[in-house]
Amino acid sequence: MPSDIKDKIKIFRFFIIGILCLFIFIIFSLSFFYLAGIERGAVSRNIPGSVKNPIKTAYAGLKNAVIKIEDLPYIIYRFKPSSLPVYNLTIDQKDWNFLNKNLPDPDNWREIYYDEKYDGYKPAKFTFNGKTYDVKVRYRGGMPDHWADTKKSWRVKFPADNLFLGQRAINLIIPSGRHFYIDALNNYRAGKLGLAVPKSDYVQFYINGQNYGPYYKLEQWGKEMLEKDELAGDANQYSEKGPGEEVFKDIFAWQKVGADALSLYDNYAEAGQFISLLDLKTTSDEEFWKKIEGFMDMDTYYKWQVQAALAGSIHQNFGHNVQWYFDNAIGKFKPLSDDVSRDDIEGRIIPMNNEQYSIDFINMNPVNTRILKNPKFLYERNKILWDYLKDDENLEDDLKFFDDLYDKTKIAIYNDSIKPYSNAWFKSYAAYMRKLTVNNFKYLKNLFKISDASYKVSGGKSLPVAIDLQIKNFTPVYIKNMELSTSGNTGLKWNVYYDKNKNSLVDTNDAIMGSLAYDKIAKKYLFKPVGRVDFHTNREWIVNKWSRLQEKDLLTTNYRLLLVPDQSEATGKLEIKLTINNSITEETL
Amino acid sequence: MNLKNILNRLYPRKQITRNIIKRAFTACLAVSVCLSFILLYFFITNTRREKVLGLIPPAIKTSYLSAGKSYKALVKQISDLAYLPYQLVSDDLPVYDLYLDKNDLDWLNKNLPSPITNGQRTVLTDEYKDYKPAKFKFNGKEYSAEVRYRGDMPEHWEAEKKSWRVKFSRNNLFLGQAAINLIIPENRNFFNEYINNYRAGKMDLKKLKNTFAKLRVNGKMQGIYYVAEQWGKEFLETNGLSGDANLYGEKTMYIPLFDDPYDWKKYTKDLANKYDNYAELEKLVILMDNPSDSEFYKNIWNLIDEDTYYKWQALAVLAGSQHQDYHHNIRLYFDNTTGKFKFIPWDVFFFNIANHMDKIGSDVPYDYINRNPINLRILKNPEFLQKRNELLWNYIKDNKNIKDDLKEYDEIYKKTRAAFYKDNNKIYSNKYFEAQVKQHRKVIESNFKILQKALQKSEVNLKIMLNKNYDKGERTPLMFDFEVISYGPVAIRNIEFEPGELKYYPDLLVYYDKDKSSKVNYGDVFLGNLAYDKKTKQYSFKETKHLDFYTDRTWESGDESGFGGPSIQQVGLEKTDYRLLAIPANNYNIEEIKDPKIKFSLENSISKDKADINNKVYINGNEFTYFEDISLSQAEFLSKHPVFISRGKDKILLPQGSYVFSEHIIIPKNLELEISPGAVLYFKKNISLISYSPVKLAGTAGAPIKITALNPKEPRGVFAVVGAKGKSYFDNVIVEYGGTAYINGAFFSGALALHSSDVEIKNSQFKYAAGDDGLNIKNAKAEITDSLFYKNSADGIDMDFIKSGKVYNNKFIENGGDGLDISGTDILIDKNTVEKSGDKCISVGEKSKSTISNNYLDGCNYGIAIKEN
Repeated sequence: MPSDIKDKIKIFRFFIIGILCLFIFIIFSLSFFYLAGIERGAVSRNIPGSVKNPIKTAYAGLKNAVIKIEDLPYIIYRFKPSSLPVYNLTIDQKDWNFLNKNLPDPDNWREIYYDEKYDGYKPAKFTFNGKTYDVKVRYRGGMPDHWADTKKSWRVKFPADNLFLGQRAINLIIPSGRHFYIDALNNYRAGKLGLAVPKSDYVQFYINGQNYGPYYKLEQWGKEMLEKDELAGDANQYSEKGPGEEVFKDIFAWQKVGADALSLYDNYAEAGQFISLLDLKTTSDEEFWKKIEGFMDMDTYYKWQVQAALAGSIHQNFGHNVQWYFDNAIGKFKPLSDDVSRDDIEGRIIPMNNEQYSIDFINMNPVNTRILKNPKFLYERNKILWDYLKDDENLEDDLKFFDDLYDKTKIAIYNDSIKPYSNAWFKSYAAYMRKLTVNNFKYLKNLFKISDASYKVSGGKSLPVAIDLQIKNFTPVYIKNMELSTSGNTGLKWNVYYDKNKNSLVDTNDAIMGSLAYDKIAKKYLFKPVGRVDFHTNREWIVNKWSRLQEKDLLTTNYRLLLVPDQSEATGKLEIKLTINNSITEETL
Repeated sequence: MNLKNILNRLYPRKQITRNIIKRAFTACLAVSVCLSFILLYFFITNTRREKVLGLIPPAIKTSYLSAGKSYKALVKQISDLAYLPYQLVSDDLPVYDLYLDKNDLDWLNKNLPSPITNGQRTVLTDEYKDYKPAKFKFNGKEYSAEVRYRGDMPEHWEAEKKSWRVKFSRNNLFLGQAAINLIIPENRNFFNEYINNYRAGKMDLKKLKNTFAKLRVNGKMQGIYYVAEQWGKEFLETNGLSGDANLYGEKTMYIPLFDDPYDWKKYTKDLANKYDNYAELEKLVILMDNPSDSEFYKNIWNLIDEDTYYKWQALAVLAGSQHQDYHHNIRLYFDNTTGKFKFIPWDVFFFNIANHMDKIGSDVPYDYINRNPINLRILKNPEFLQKRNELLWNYIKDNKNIKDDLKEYDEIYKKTRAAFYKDNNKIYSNKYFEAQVKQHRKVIESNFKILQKALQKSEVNLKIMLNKNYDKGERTPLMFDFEVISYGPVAIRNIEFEPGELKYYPDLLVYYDKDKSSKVNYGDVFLGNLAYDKKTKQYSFKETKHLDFYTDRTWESGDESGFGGPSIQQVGLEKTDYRLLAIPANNYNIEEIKDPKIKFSLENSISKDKADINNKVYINGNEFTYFEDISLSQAEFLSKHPVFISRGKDKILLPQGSYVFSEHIIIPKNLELEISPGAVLYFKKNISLISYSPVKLAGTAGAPIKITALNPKEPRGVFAVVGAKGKSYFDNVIVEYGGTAYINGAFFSGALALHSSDVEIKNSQFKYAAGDDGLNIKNAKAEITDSLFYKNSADGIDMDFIKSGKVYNNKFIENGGDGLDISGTDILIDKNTVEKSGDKCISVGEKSKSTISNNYLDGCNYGIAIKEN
């Protein structure tokens, strides 16, 4: 073997051994920290910036290089133009530098949120379609992924007398920050459901002439946004002041996004009323359920909840993504959808079975648990949910929206050289989001079809006859039909009652469900319903350590029906057959 | 050169050996890497170290530790090479010489337990505490002494350099001391205990004499020691206390001291008793056991010297320490001249408060009372805690104190460092010593600053409730709900209140509403007056009684020490609510406050710094006064408003007749209202009828239904239907002298208003609306035909977001604004007559797509105006 090749092999060997030694050294050091009782956070905090920063830079550089290599096959897309609208921002370099410095340390958990401390706007020029606007800009987004990388999320505020396409302020959000197409899809669904949502779009964003790639544009909350959705702009709209606070327990955790101009002072009366109504200690469930309809626009609320359920989302919870509009025309709250996000119902939510997740997708938000603990309200929500799910065209339509948006934006995303991920990752993530959309839809639909109901007849010789119904269903069921065959007396009339207290006696509170009269042709007693009773499956409830009401699971629930003949004696053997239907889907179980 | 080449050279002919070594090396490497990966996993997952170490067999652990020790010693010696020149530098530290018989010394060295027993560190128990005779020499003077090793934990006696106790004979005390402890300095964080004692002196607490000295044993230098006097009669007398009194300390470790008197021992005894009397301890234990806090608080200062206790506790807080806890480091002197216990600091130690805060994720330190049941019991009382904090503040408010402490620290460091460097017997390197000293100095400074900041900081949120109505129209004009989260209490300095325009400005009496009932009742505390000054047009506060807003602490069950300590611990501050009421003096009924400006000046009661109000919100207490009425049942409604009668299930009727309404009428949801022809409804000023159900007002030409004001000069409120499920009908209805209303969160600007409620109106008249519009309809289907809109102050009709309906064959005459104002509305506007409107005959705005045809428009400023899309 030639000596130069031998030398190269030697150098390569040393290189490999060097890397191996470094690797072993790092592993040994970390295990030493462990043995010495030094906490992980302390190690990270105590590594000086002079060491940490170069490592970070080197890592970022390496990652970037890998992304670039991975993206090589997509180079052909460089020659294909993007069809997205182009926004141009021109900002003084000093101001931009200020914005870049005025950011929290992403490693410091105490400062991880982009709060008012960093809320400094800087002037800039915004140009679109040849028209220039004097704007104010800052970075936006709660978590570091919005501002820790080169590609950052922005908020652009336009002058009140020179709105941008009717918008007072817009957010330009890194596409990955809203799971690419999920937020747009959620907003699309909101539109289909008749909910008010900010306008969204995908745009190409240039800063000081440099292409920063595609951004998800979302109108910012405000008077102008509300009025476009036919809501009064001069009304109170509330959101959380900072993340993590218990908004529905603490009035000081609220802030106003829009203010009612009627009051001369900054009146939070409805927020105060809402919090007091939600208080588990002072307002009983019955009282709450009685009053909530006078305080909440229930139709909007159900739709808002359905939209979240479709996404398998608990992202609008006790402490963040709270947007509550108080409609002062009717004196009621209307929840608005905000960053609904998504989750994997089948893959994550149901298997996790922890207190964050519940079969009705309501935990983590005390308004949801409190309202939808009431079977009547849950039934109403589920009716709307089923209306959406029963029609597969809805899913096809949603997917078409998703696919169209993907087709519209993919070239721009491929060509985005600043994004901190590869095109292959984007493609697989987008595909995963699409799959999730399909799976969630199907899972939810299937939930309406799963049925577990049985009944047992007792009595016959001794009267009345009791039918014990046992159910464990996502949705309520009702008795669609009943047939009674007998070898005995055929001249009776049987009344059918729902025996509320299960004492096998007809009491004043028991509800009449119908009667059975003998049909000579059918040669059996046939059912004539009077009032439909929906049998709801109870849920198990707990109040967790944060004093939040949480739904745990479905409970097997028993109901008793009574068959009472109009004469005191019934002779012969009785055979009873029930037809039980799903109250929402109307399918027979 | 790689490993193979090295082995070939070392063992050229021993191929087998080479292979064995190679394999052994590879195996060791593989095992090490595996082990490291396992440890790395524990590190990443933050698994508790103790848990993992507990899994390692003791034999392996011991060999590992001894190998580690040798390695450590070697590293130390190499590292100390840089400090060699100091061996030549002299230091001024005193040198104590101890001479023992070699056999006795050997016996002492042997009479020690293994440092680890059953995987736990061994505690030195009494059987290892026998003394041996010795000679102690200092400054040319010789003392007969008895000596032994001391210190509960193995670090005192497991290494070559050990901690000692030296006992002198009663008739030949050493510098007035009957016994001294020579403690390895690292056990007292080098200079930290010295500084704690220095601070104790400044705070006028009793303290042990302490210094640094070098020790030689049988001529062999042992190195530098922290020297502390031992507890005893002499210590007490030197500190001006009676030596013939009971001085208690713990017998051993890990046994809860305050549960019973058995676990205490006496360092000195009260000679007044001939038998060994523990009466005062028994009394303390009984008092601690008393479940009644009030009993405890009433009696505790009859048994404990209050001032000494607060100082003793403040000293511990400065050190961020809970080291004088439920089982050890407690020294209680029972002063038989006052009959009270006095706490004496011992082994206070130092902890980094910043680290602690980081660990519990808090921005403020907590009170440092955990782990010790007596602290937990006493300082749970906010007034006692306040006193402790005042004492603490007295120390930390003055930066001179920290400068002075650090000066003392630096001086003792300078005085001793050469002796430390020269100490070859110590188990740590000089670099380690330097780093530790630097680190501990930082902690002393940082603890001081953190506490200083905590005692200055206050967070206050304020909710101001205006015009809260209760019983029969009586009103609490102002209610202040404070939410306080502050290490020290907060108090009111002043209240300034500009009420805006009112008819009368009575004095307002300010009460602390203890039970938060929103009414003044028994037990509430009168705090002072708000008096109005005509010149400044504002109220200002004159305090009669001072009130401190304390912040409650959050308590959690659980033993922080993890070794059988108290089962409750304080884990932080808890937002605490206080309610104040301001009610008019002499039963005045103040009118509604509409434009207030309220300014509170608050102060931190300890630091006297201004306390900022972080968040302030106003609540219009009037807004939801009628909220409950929305959900009334039919029976409840009829009982409240007997002029209405039942018309079957879920229906009520107002029969023909004249009615005067002097309070708002709320028709509940799910209760339809019908008004009979010929009914005349008079409403007093600003009084409204709001229906949450559909209404049917079917008058006739001969017997129209009239909705009017009792006095046309004092317009009524509105007649409104809101969110009704079903259509409302108005036929032959006269609606006049209407105004506006803001009830249950909804604002109504139409004399007749229909919000989210479908409606059909015909043959009706809308006249003289004083507030805004004659008719206002929002978000509904609407048909309005053959009606008259006359001389309304603003628009005849205002329609917003009406997606279906018509306005047909109506007359709009002399309305102040527009005849018809629509926005977001898609309807037919046909065959109407609009004359002499103040603004537009027809105004079309905001995405309306209505068809406007065959209308007669005349005498308006504009005929039809189309605006905003």
